[in-house]
Order: sequence, then structure tokens, then C-alpha cells
Amino acid sequence: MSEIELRTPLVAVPGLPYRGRDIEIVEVASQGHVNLRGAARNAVFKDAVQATAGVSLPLAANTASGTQPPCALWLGPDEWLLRLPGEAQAATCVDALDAALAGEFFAASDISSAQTVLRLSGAHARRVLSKGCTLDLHPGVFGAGRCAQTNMAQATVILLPLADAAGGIEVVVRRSFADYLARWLLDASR
Amino acid sequence: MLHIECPWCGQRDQTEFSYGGEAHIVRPTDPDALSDAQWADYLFMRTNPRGRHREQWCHTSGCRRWFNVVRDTVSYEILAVYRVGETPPDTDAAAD
Ligand SMILES: [Zn+2]
Repeated sequence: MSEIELRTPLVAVPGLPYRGRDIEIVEVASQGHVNLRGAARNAVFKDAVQATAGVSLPLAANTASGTQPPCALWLGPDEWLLRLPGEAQAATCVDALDAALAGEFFAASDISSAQTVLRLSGAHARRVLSKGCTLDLHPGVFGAGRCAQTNMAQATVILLPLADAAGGIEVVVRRSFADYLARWLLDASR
Repeated sequence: MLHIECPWCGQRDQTEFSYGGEAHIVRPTDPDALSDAQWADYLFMRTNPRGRHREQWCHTSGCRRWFNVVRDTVSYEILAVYRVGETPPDTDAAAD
């Protein structure tokens, strides 16, 4: 049997990882992504997520429980993205939630293979992102603890500001848009 | 370009939203009891006011929730934003 080689969504993009002047772009691949639907007012649901994933679901719009996995990002009044350290944890998490919440009205979907993450760091990271985005990305408005779904160069993305002093941001993007968006960001960085 | 206030996310650009037509169209509870004309009226006929219009928008590129907007079709000014299920604000002023 031949070995199956795991390839990340952006492995074939030339120029990535990119290290330019005051801008770095790297793919943060193979993390766990779980889309979670459920009622925030349902304590059974919230407690099970806390016990299983170790995160408390943020209830304020466009906020995140943290900047690094494990953390939960608000996507809607009944929808979150759980970010976990690896794909295996996502599968385990979904199985555990399904078992713990049997009979409850909720949904947990392992979408680790459907998304990837681009991390932009350096003093010019937000300037580059602003070329393709209508949100105000100033750190005073959009700092660590926040998140937002929006369009980046017309691709639907989730933005997660990091806690580093330089104001880095992670961009969660669908796999099918990742190649396009990575090339667009590389071009915008030059 | 409109700036639309999503009830959850706050002000975002129009490019993040999809338009969903007139709001508060109630589906008939018993479609079989309707004549073709009544069913066609439910499906196709909409008010087309010159002025205030209650309409549905979806924050497609954001939180993906539907909500309602009162917009002036002449000036494009957005006069109110409210969630599905909420009583329309400023009801008297909004033309039906
Ligand atoms: Zn929204």
C-alpha cells in the first residue's frame, strides 16, 4: 500500500508562506473546525459544550471566547464556530456532543476539511486586509476578543484578531475559496 | 451604497446583504381553499409604494439572519430596522 500524503488546502500556492516587509502570511492548516447550532438559552446545550470542548459560548454578537484553539466564535444568535487544536479533536468533540446531547435540539458538524486559516501578522497586516474589506479593522475597534464574518475580496470569510502586539489577524476561509484568497492576499501584500 | 444596520452585527455595507422583497406577507393557512386568483395574489402581488416600504433583508455574508427594514423607496433612507417577529416600529407612518 502506498502512503497517503496529507495535503493542506494551500500547499500548492507559490509564494506561501510569505515573509515581506512588515507582513507575514502563513497557512494555519489541519486545525479542528466544528460548526455548532443550538439555543444559547438551553443550559444543557451550553454546559455540554463547556464540558466537551472546554469553551464557554460567547453570547455577544461578533465576539470570540479566545484567539487560539480551543475557542468559540459567535457566528449568529444560535450559531458558533468551535476551533480546536487538531482535526482529530473535532471528530472526537462532535461524537461526544452527539452522545451528551441526544434528544436535544442542536447540531454539531465537523467542517475541518471544509475550511482553512490564513494568519496575517506584522505591522502591515491590517492595511493589506483593508484593501479587500469594508470593515473598520483598526485595533481600537477590532481587537482581540472580537470576530466578524464579512467579505474579503468578495470571498466570505471569518476574521479573528489576534492578541499579539502587532495586531495580527487570522482569516478563516472555505477551502474552495482558499487558493483564490491566498493569491489575492499575496498580490495585495507586494 | 446603502449602510444597513444588522440587528445583531451593527452597521455593514450593502454588499454583505441580500434583498428579500416585501415583509409581512403571510402564507395562507389553507392554500387548498383558495382560488387561483387568491393564490396568485399571495405569490406574486406586492405593494409598490412611493415612500416607506417594509422589506426583508438577509445578512448573507455576516450572521445569515433575516430581518426587516423600513426603507423610503424615493430617498433610499433606512428609517427602521427590526427583527423577525418584532412589531414594526413607527407602524402608523409606514405605508401598507
Ligand atoms: Zn448580521
